[in-house]
Amino acid sequence: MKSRNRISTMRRRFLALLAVFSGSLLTSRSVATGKQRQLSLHEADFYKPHDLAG
Amino acid sequence: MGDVTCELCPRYCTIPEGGAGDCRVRVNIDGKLVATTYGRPSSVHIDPVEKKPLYHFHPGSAVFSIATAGCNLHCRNCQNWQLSQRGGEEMERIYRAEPADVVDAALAENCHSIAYTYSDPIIFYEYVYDTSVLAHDHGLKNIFVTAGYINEKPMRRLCQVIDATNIDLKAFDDGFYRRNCSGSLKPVLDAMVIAREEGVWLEVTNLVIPTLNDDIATVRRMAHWIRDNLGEQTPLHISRFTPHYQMRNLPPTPVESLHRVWNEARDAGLKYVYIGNIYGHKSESTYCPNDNTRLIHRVGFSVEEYNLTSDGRCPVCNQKVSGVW
Amino acid sequence: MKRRDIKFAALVAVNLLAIAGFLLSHIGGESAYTGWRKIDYPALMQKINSGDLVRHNAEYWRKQQ
Repeated sequence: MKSRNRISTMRRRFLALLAVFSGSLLTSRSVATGKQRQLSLHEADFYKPHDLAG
Repeated sequence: MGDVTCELCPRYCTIPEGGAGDCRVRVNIDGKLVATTYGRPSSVHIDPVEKKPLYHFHPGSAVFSIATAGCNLHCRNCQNWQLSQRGGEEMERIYRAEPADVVDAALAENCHSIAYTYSDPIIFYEYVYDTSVLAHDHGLKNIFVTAGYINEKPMRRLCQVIDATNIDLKAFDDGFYRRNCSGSLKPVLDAMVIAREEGVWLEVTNLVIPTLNDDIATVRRMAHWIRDNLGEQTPLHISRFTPHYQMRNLPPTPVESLHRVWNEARDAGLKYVYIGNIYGHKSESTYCPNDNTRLIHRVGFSVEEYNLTSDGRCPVCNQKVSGVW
Repeated sequence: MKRRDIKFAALVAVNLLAIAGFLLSHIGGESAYTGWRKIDYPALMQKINSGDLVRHNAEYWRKQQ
């Protein structure tokens, strides 16, 4: 019983770790592809308030 | 060997292969000078023309405003330093906007003009020029918002395709330009005279920075120079400094200093002197130089009341008011 | 000279050498605001290759002649 509990805890930890790794991988991939994505002019928010002078 | 000299601005950068001009965006690649940000703006906004600031050029109209990275001056008080003091390769956001795309977008958004602004558009000269030609073909006006640090030949050529310019006269003091902007005064004065000679509508901005350029004798010389060389009808925008970039040690300009500068400029004979960066100030509005009737009432960048006649005259005394209406 | 002093002197010497090396490596080439700049050329070429930046001819005065 005790050893089964331990296996279950290990499995949970393994799955949690896997989830963290997958999450971080997906985030980094999306950031990387996002940076490489070409921005067309129409993706600019022309009316967004800004504090640029001039 | 392989060096190229950029003749666009008074720096005359001689650039070895793989290097950039002082502006960071004109680069020597394989022995050829290339503009790396042509058609690649990093800031695109629609602003009221009053923001440029232009108060005598189609008041209340919307302006499609673009800028790329880079600048040929390095002002310690730059408000737009995150754009102007970086090269294209350092920018995270770069839009693909060839001249035709800019013109299409400006038309689609019902803008009256295209402004080349925020950083100094001198450094993306070719982009400005080609877009301006196309804009004129489609009935749009062109506005060039600059510090005027440019050589005579390219300035004259550009004046053929732009309709209005606001030139930032940072101080009437060469030492100020050298210490705070890494530039010099003479080319800026020349650029303003060229704009006037070439028939481009010109307004001048002077940002008043406490202790650095608010000396009243210098202000007087500046106002007299504007009156004598550009004409008393030239609008002058006296603008309030707020701490930015490498000049956070100074306080915002006291309103009294702005009033002193305003009085000095008016005493010199300038007809249209405005105070900027103080929301709701009385001197944001345009008054008739003859009978002091309020002709255009502004609050911030918004036109609240417009009383000029269609041909730009005071409705009370029929005084002609200089501008493009 | 004590052993401890020698160690300290060596530390100072190493620091001075490092500073000298840094300064020497910056002699020549670009200097701020007086002509041209070194840029991150590989980063620039990467952006040019991806189309984020371009190689547009900037020698307009030659084009005119």
